[in-house]
Amino acid sequence: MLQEAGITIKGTRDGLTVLVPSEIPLADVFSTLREKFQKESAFFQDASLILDLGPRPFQEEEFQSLQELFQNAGISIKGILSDNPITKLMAKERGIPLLGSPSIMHSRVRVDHPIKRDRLSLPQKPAVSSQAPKEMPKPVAAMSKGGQALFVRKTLRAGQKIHFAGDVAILGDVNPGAEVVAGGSIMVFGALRGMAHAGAEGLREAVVAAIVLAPTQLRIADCIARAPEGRGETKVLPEIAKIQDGVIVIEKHM
Amino acid sequence: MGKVLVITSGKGGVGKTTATANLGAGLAMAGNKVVLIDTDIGLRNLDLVLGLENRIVFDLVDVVQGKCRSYKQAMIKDKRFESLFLIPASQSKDKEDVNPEQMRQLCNQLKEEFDYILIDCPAGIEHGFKNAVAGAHEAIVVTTPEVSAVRDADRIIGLLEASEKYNPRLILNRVRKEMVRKGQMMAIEDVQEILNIALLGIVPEDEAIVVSSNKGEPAVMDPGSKAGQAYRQIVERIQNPSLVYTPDLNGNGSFLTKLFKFFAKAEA
Amino acid sequence: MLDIFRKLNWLSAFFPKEESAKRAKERLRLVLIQDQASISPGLMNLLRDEMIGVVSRYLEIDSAHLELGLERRNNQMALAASIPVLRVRREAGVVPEDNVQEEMLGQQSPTNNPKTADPSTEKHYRRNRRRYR
Repeated sequence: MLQEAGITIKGTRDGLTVLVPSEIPLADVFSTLREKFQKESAFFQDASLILDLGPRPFQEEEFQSLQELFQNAGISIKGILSDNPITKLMAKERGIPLLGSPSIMHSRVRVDHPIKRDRLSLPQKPAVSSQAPKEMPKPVAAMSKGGQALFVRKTLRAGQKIHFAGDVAILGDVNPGAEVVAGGSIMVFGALRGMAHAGAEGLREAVVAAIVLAPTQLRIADCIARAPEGRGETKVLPEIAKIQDGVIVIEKHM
Repeated sequence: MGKVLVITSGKGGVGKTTATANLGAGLAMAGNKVVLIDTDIGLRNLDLVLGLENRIVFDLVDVVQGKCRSYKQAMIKDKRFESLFLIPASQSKDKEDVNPEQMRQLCNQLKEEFDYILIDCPAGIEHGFKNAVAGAHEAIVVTTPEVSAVRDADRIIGLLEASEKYNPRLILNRVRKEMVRKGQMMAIEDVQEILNIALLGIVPEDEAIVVSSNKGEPAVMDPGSKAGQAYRQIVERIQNPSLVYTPDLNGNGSFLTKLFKFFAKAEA
Repeated sequence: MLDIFRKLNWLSAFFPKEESAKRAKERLRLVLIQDQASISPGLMNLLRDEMIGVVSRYLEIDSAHLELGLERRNNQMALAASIPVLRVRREAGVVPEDNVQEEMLGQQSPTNNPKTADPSTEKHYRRNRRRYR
């Protein structure tokens, strides 16, 4: 059993299985795999590996990149193990066989706060992430239990989503058609023009803040608010949205 | 070694096919050897815009399925230009009759013979889109200054950026200066606040485009057409990527947002 | 070559603007008929050229005014041709009037204009064709 940067490769009766952990950011997973395949290209050439993806959900383009990574290394994917229905569907669509059941090593994931409304079960570890910094910053607004924050350093474009159980900070914009769903608070260091749902697991004290707060829809816990009509020009006016007396109010921030 | 450019948009009707025809004709007029590929299987129209609709014998599906000996048999030479060719789409088949691997192979073959290969992408993000981008190195995203077009363009850019290889550049099409001046139409700065990719050019709304499509003569051939002029300038920038496009910015849009965007881009 | 286009465009400015709309309608009509009957426009042209070749062997025709199209008749599609005849050829195997030959890169050359109808001379014809390539 080999372990490198959190990625485990096991030899089983069925062949070589790559265990892709859920808590490591995908970009790191990709670069580790790429490096490994390059370093030991002779060993992996023409190999056929099983991918154990556990409960990790994938976006279309992430799954695509994963496939391409293996393709470029000359490795074929024998099959996929996954707990996640969306991942399973994607595999089926692409003609990749679904095998047995994922390794026990994945089942550490639990959800502490079951959601009343949306039937979401947000993972404790980041579901979708990009390059996270080496050290986690102190939580901006320590509103969520759990204390871990997700730090996303890119602009979210239409169709892209972030789902996370803790706080989420985004350095960039959230474009219309993009979505951020957090168990904790959401801070956007840029323009929030898409959909944001803070306190998604029922935390009414969660807040949403942005440099430019112009979302298509704003939700905190079980309250929903729409952007007022005709906001006109986007003023640079940092604002924060919170629940007060049962409704969402927006205040000037800082 | 040729360059393979895919012209895409997400939304339909914003001017991908017109752009492909005009850029192709313009590049050919500038002396390049150009081939255009229409990948909108089932709803072909690049041939119509170029006025080549009565020359079609074989099409893209025939090429990838081996019904003709090679792409050379399906390729139509546009006699008005020295070096412009078209591989038309099929009218009666299905987008699933072509797959991304076949497109990649075709583009690799064409790269040996042509300076530029322009791929006209169908609307949407499904199979047709995947086919069109498979063989391409670079992407040109076409949009109009209209909310749903920009939203769809953003989606497309998100998909392209995930692959890190396409270097998407923007063409803003059908701009009406008067409406922008009166604040009734989004300006390029407004669009860029959302899309934020390198700008290739701005094409004004022009009646000459309708006439040119009626006649099957791309507007880039017409010295009197403002849209044609814009396309000719874009052709120059395609050939010479160091020509930086600086549209006149009015200073709208927040300084702070731009500042933060600058940081976001730098660290992304 | 660009100069020629500039001149042509300058000239077309003198023609009424409806011209291009009419042209569009006509092109569209042709394309739609062909789409519906699933015959590609290119094949239609090949058919037309071959037909001219065959008919010209027997009748001297005005090929410029030849009309060929697929029409809907009741529930059927029918190929309808209207071919103005100038005169009947008494002699079989005369060289036809038009020499229609398109230069298409790699496209199948139209199988038209046999020099004679006599099968014994077919070898000769084929050799000629190859020279054009």
